[in-house]
Amino acid sequence: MKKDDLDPLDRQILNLIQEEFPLCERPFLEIGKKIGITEKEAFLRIKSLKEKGYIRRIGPVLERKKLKLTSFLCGASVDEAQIEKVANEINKHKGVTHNYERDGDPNLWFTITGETSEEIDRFLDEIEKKFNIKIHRFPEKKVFKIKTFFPL
Amino acid sequence: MKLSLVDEKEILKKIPSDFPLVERPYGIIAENAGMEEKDLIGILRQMREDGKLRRIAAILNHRKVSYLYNGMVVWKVKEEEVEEKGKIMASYPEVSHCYEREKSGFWDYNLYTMIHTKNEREFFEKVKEISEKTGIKEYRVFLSKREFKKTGLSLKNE
Repeated sequence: MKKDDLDPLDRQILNLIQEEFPLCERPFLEIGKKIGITEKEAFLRIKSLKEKGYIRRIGPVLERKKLKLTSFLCGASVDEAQIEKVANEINKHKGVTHNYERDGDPNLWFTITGETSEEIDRFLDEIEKKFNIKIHRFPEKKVFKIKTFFPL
Repeated sequence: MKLSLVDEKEILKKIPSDFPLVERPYGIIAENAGMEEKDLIGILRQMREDGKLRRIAAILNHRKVSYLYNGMVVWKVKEEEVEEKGKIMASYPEVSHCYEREKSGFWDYNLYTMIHTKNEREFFEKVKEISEKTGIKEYRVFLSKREFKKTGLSLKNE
């Protein structure tokens, strides 16, 4: 297994901010208070963790349903030779948040969110036509959990 | 401050999915959006209370933090058991996402989970454990091979 170069304080910070990044005027002061370091130290630590690539992003996690947005998981069987091209075309839609090649059939899986299902369908229909593929759409019925938390 | 959903979405359009890394990120975001920092914070707090904003948080790069192995597992669950089984699956820390989805006339799998572990052995052990705990024997595993995109949902035109 690859060894990371995190020290105990880094781990503490990452565990804390994966749960919640403070929603207040001085978030780094809050974080610093919780783990006993200054605002400046908390800021610099987090900045460095971001630069080193441990943190992908810090930002809002939205609840699609309550914002009246529609979201599908989609699966398609795509030939290996053109999968990258298809994926890149799909990624042009800004509502596409996850797009993975997976072992198995279907082998291309992505999530897409939009204002209406008609809008999403129109986009997907065009992709289907362009690449002569079928995109299976699995609308969400119920969310039991969305929480990526990696204990460090 | 209580706004209409339309106005709230307008504000979300001005918020990046990845905050600028400065000491007062809400200050910069508010400035770029032409509003006061305290108003922005107030609106976001209200949205969090209403459940439209789940939370503000750091999303880690799972490959970098040693959670190298991940995959999607789809489960075939009886309609009347979805609630119970979905809750059990969601209770595992290794399960980051758990959704019930339409079968869409494609197949009979209706419960979707994303599972993250540090290695292959742990992954399949976890899948087996979940299967035994829930009694769901019919499932399929789709391991991640290549990432084409992974980002947060943003209403902002970036």
